[in-house]
Amino acid sequence: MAGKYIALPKGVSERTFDAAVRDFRGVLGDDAVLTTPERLAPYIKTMMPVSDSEHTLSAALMATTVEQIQKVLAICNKYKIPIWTISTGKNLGYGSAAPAERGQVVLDLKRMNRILEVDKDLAYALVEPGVTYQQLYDYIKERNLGLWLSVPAPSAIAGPTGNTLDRGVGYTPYGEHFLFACGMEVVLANGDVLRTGMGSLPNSNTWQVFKWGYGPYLDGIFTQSNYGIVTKFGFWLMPAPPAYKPFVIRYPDEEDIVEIVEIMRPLRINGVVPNAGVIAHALYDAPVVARRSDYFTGSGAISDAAVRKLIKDHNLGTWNVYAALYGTEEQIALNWKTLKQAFGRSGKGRILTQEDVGDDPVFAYRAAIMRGDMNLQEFSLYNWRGGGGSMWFAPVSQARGSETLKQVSLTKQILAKHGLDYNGEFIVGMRDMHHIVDVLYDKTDPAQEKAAYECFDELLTVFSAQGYGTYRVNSAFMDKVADTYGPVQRQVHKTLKKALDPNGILAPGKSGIR
Amino acid sequence: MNVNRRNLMKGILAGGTLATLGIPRYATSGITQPNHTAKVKACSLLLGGTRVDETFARGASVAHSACSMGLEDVFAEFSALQVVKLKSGLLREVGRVSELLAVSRGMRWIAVMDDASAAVFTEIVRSAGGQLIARGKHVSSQDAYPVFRGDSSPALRHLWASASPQRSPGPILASQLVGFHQNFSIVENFLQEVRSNGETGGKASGEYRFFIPEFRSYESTGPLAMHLHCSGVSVSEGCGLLGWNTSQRWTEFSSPRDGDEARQTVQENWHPANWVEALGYAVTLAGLGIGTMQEDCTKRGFIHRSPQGEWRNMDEPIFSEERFTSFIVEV
Repeated sequence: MAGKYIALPKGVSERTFDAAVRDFRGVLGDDAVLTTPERLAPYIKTMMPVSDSEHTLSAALMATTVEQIQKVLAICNKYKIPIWTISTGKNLGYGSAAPAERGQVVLDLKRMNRILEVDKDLAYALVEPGVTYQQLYDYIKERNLGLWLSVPAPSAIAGPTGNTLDRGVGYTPYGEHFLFACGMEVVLANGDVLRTGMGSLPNSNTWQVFKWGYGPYLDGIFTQSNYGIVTKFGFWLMPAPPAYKPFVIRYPDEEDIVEIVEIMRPLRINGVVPNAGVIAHALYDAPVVARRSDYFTGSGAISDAAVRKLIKDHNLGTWNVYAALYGTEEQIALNWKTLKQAFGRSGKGRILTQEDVGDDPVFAYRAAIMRGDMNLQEFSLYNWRGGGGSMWFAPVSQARGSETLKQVSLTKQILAKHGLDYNGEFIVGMRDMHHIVDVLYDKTDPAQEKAAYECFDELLTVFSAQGYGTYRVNSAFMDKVADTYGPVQRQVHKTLKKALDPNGILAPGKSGIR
Repeated sequence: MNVNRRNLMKGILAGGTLATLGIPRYATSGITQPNHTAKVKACSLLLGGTRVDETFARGASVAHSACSMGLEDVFAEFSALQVVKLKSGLLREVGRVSELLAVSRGMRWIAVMDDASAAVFTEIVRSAGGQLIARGKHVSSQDAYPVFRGDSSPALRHLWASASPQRSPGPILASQLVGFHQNFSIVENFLQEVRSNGETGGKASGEYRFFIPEFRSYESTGPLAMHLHCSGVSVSEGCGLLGWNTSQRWTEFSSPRDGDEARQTVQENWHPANWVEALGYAVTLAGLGIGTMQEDCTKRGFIHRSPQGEWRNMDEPIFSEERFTSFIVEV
């Protein structure tokens, strides 16, 4: 029996939970402790092919200060209540705001939303976890600070703390977000407050400018983990360049991906192209301008003929390479020449700039996010098939052309077996390459939901067996992905967990760590 | 609410007003008392820029007007339905919607939008500290997988996540859709967990049960209380088509014969032109707290297979392939 709560933490009686809730209210106030179904419902939407009941929270807590968080943790330790912390909770396609396990209490830090510092000269920011990109964007714009953000696809509604802690990425030269993180304040399970790097040194003013401090570098263990609650987060901002030139190169054939990566890699490593180059398949871009049902109905994956028609109708490439040049006009002119020579040599790709494409909506959104503007158009993906199902499949490989076609072929083969489409793209970091596939399915169709689960499971199994590790995954598959990295890593993670959180109150299950 | 008013409303809902609204007089002890309706002083309709906006709005308008007429003596201050249209869609107008929610405290919103916008809207509602009363995904598509003995899910499917049965539109929609000749499924998942042999919120499971004409109604005897209302399919087939565990044991608690009288009522009243209009009507009515059914269960399903198997308004091609999301929220 659940009684008055919509769920209870595993192994916790309603009576014990009553006591915990009473204590939470004592610390936070009644308005900051949510237990009614209507208030908790917005936390539950997951998009994963499992029952939402597996990720139903028991309560949500709204803390506003570090001191409150310390007291909340004391209560959790006392009653053995597991809490799942979110900053803005916009981890769409990875589990959103829902906890990893049924009954966990969500600690929602959205009200901790102060921008503590933005330094124009040193180009850094220090923020609380509830700060959104939109908030920071407005702050910088209002003060004319001349700084750019790097944002992920949910841009306006998401925030830098949560995105970076889950090792999310953006599309400017600062797009590898954790690379540009500098200094955290972390509340540990025992209530201690740790400032990483230079932050532990009294009177230091270098917390946000020098990452390493002294001794082992700790920031990494607070990403994709459950070892502490980050309450302040520092990161570097990009000075607005004097000039910016986004471009797209459209390639007609699927096999062209090999050439694209071989050309892109050296341009990335030597800095000619300073941001991560996105190589989007036509079906990744298409949802901005079309729906699947406009081109294909019936069961099974979309046909090649339908894809060809869609490409023709909307003037897309089978592969569409997006990147940009940043700097002075002179720097850009020089790099543009190099780039055009490299990509123009084979004559396969059409190199297009803003002037060439006009008001093309796909280009417009890509151009916006490559300069850190707020734009949510990428979520048009959810309209491709419709029905609300989405999971990001994100294996990592070397940035080599030879790594592409076999991945595409394997992915399409597994997706097609389960009747699903390939909505994928490659992102060339520098030496690495992320292969990002949005596994889209219809949650209203129980058979399709089942197929999506089996498909995702198979993708993880097959890719990991071939050495392609997944860098990030939704909360329904965290244990499976953790297993692919082997028992020793899992044991080390567990050892750290035991040492830092002996009662296991912090986000049990995050990245498979308990 | 004082006792006299409550009794008056109970009378209205058990008889005339329900008939006016086109809702069958469910044979039940669990008809919802619209206690929360008293709080709904303002209700707005948010149209997200989809192809179904106008049609959905027509159904919503009928429901709102009918409620206003039926309850005007009780709620003199029941205000007009305000409509907000997002011409460019929520993905492009996210800032406007956030501001809208921020300045509309106490407002109940009925909303319809595409699935991409819906994913973001849920986030905005949470950020605004809002209440999500019901979120429904609606699909009309031939793109369904074979699930049960080679059969496929119905082409018209509705999947709700609702806070509770008391404010979930499923029964209202089911009662409207059976008038059409199209297969459909409705699944409602409720947040309040109820055990089939236990209690929740002080109510014994099974105290509230109801039926709709043409449906045979069953309750599971498994660990969680589930209700399934079947029309034209056996309970076993129904489970299969909904992807539910087919080995679950079910007990029938009503049959169509019980509802003959009610069937006449629904036939005599308002008929939507198509399923989207019926949906707008059902969601709005539920949003206003009228005509929904309290059933003590964690999950509820309606599955209907029409003997004719054809949609009577197939000349409306825009609804032959459609996917979108509806909401009832309060901020």
